Amino acid sequence: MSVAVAVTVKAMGVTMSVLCGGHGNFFRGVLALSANSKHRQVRYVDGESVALFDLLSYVAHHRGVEFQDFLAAAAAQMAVLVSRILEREADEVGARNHLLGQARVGQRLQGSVNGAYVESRQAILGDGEDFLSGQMMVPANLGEDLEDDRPLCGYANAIVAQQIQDCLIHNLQIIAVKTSLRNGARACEAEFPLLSCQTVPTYLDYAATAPVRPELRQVLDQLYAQPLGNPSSLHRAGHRARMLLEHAREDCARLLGAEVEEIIFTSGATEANNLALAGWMRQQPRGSRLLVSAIEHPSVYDCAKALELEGYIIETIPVDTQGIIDIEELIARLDASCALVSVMAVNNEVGVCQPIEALAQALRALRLPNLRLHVDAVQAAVVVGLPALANIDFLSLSGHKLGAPVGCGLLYVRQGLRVAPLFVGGSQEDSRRAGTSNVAGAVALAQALKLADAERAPNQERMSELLAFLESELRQIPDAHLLGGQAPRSPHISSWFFEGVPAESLLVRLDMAGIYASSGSACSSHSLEPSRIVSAMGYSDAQSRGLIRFSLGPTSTRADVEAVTSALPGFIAQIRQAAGLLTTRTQPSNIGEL
Amino acid sequence: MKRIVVAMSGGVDSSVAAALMHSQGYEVIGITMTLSPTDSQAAPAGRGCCSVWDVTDAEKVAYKLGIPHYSFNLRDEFQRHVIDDFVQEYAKGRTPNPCRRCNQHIKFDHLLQRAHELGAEHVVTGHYARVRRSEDGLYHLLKGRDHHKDQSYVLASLTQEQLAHVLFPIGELEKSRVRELARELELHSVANKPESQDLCFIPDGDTAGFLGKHLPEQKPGVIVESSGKVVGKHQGLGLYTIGQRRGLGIATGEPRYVLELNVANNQLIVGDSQELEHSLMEVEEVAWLQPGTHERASVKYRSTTGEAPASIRNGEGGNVFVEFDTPQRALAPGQAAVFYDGEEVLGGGTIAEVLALSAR
Repeated sequence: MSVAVAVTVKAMGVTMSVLCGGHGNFFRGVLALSANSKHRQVRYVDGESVALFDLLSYVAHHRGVEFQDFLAAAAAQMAVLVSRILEREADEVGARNHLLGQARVGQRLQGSVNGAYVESRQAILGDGEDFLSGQMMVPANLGEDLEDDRPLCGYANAIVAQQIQDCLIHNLQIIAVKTSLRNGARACEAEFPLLSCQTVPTYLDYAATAPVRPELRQVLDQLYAQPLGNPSSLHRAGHRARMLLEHAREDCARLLGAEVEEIIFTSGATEANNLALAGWMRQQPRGSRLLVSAIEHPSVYDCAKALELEGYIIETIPVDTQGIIDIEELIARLDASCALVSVMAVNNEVGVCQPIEALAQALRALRLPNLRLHVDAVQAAVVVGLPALANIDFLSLSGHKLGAPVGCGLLYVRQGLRVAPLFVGGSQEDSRRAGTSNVAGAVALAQALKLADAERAPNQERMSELLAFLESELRQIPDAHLLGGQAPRSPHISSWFFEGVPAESLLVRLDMAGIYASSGSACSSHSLEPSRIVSAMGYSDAQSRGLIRFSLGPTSTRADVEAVTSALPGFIAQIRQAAGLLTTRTQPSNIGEL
Repeated sequence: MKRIVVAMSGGVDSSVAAALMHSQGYEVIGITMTLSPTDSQAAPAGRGCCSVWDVTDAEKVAYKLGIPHYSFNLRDEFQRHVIDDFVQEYAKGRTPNPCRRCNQHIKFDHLLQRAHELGAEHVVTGHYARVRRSEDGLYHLLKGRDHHKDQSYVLASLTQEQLAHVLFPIGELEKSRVRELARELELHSVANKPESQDLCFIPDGDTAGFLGKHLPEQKPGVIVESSGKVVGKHQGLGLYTIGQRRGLGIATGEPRYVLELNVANNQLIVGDSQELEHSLMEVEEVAWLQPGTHERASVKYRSTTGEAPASIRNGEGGNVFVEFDTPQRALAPGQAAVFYDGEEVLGGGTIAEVLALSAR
């Protein structure tokens, strides 16, 4: 059957229409869309259009949502809504089946929409005055399938222009609906909980990477609006780039409580961590000792292992079952042969906060002249905040965990210390990091740090509430273990394992329900390895293979958390049940005797 | 929509299998199992099976089809059930078939369980074999339509219960058609991919090198002819296979083949082409897929060539004796013996011992 859904949405100060069409089970996607607001009128019909990008940037400006995704999601909601109303009012035989089919079309469409639907749903639910109206073209006789493979293109324009007529050629009727956005969306969710739960992507993987913040996209847009020169160039474009870079450095230094010459911009925290460890240790005599905690990120841990091959002595500082390092044990091991201690402020897999400031003071009190402290503060910067730099020598940060694009980070290097560069071939960053400076990255990193700093107090409060709710709900699941549950933790990370439930199966279940969570470290082929961090906390291999991490960000909502708390118990029960089935299934079933 | 799991290796067969299931309206979940050891020092360079590039090829196919794709780490299970067994069998002087073990213990056991955990009842693979269900509820395993590619030999140890949960959509197709379909569906990452000939955990094909590294220390010994005449020295029995001709390091006028690995005396027994031929063998771990008395069957004893009519009679402990109508070359203990009635697999087992006819 041929179907089309036309939806008009007024939200965020802009009115948008979309027409989606399809034939049979094959959905054609968005055929046409248009939008108008005070500022611009654009139309996009059947194909690529420059205007689309105009629209995208406009909506991105408001919400960080792909425009097409927004409309597609709205159209899918619309399909459900219309089917609900039809079912009640028309009571046609066969109508339900057809329209449920259409709802599935919407579902499939949503399945192809990446990540943005949460945002659109928030927009839909956001403002009581906004409305959603729409028309659905369905065959006049709902009982019969139309064997019609012609595109709906001729009618797309009319519908988008709101000059709606019944379509006689295609024998289609148009059913118009108008409702408030809030009621419409709620009705959809109440009526089709599966649809709204299973297809609304819920992004809870901020500790892996955070979506680029709309504010930063705007900043970058302006940045690139003029030619951005190479900051090493003499001309004015180079001068401008140099100034952008150096102002970004000033901002970063101020936010850290550092001096500008103490900031080295890098490609990210992996490089920053390597630069701190290798760049410092390679200036020490062979046989010098480097101590790292057992739960460091691979960019510290594996770098230390590589330095071992170069003749340095690497020692691992154990952690307790809560993931907290044993400071006394560490102190007891230190002597004049120790050149560096590296401990992360907030662990990326379990969110446990280390007592960095106490550690830093204790190290300083030892008065070992060669001993330096490196802190990987990537996850600390997200919510809990950076430790005071007073007794810290090196500190690494990453931009993309804060909503800047991937590819920017920094290493703080205390004044008077030198690190040997990892690359050669340029005198950038005071000859400590060769390679053309990533000006836009530095600017975005500085802005992201600023935003995180400004929003810290409200974010802490809101995310702590969300996390408390998530954890109180998940604790109800039988044999659920919260990692580091007794330790101070950042309110953006909550890691669990559920006895007998492999993380791989649970993550797939969650993904198919549109919930993006994560596990321990992934290897190059994206398959999961047992988590070294969880093993270091004293759990078994099987338990560490079950690690599931939910990580929140500033834009996470209660609805995101509820998506998890409503879906997870059922999935876990199903997986445990399937595991029970196996034991009966693998019995040999030799039938027949000779 | 019925949810199924397709085991996608990143090759053309499983890719087309996924595409066919998708086009039939199933909700397809693509899974690539990572099986080979991760240790980059241990794994030879290049694109063996399960390399990151194969995973990427599978992901490209899944993306093209619009289906989700995930990688599952089954390395520990593969090590335990397949690689360790492979090494142990060689150490015992036998010739194992790891693909058969992998099907039995990994694809249609661990992966099938994972499928159940994901709410899928069936595992789909790109094997050239067919499964039928008869009215009495029994499942029948048949050769793939393309006899050159038939893989029923490595599937014969599946149980009725396992057959109920597997689908082989390309079993009805010729290989050439599978490639054609891949091109038609624009599955560019796999359409022209060369066939993998080697064992996935030995991608460079150097089995002797692999065994040299993994076998317990090998004791050199003597190479003797069946007459007892010493003709050379061997490097350790684990490094030789029955029927092997090259690399023996002996210079006699006639070509010499490995006839037997005598582990008890640490002797490698060699002989001429005719001595390689035997008619009688004992088969252990026999499982019949089809009920009834089986006295005659066409018996396949090697994954490539090697299928011949034979009589079957009972031995002890469920073992059977297979007597071929005509002598067969290089029957090797450790290989599977699969019993066919025409297209259909009746059952299978493992070759325990090759016997001189006089043993009757």
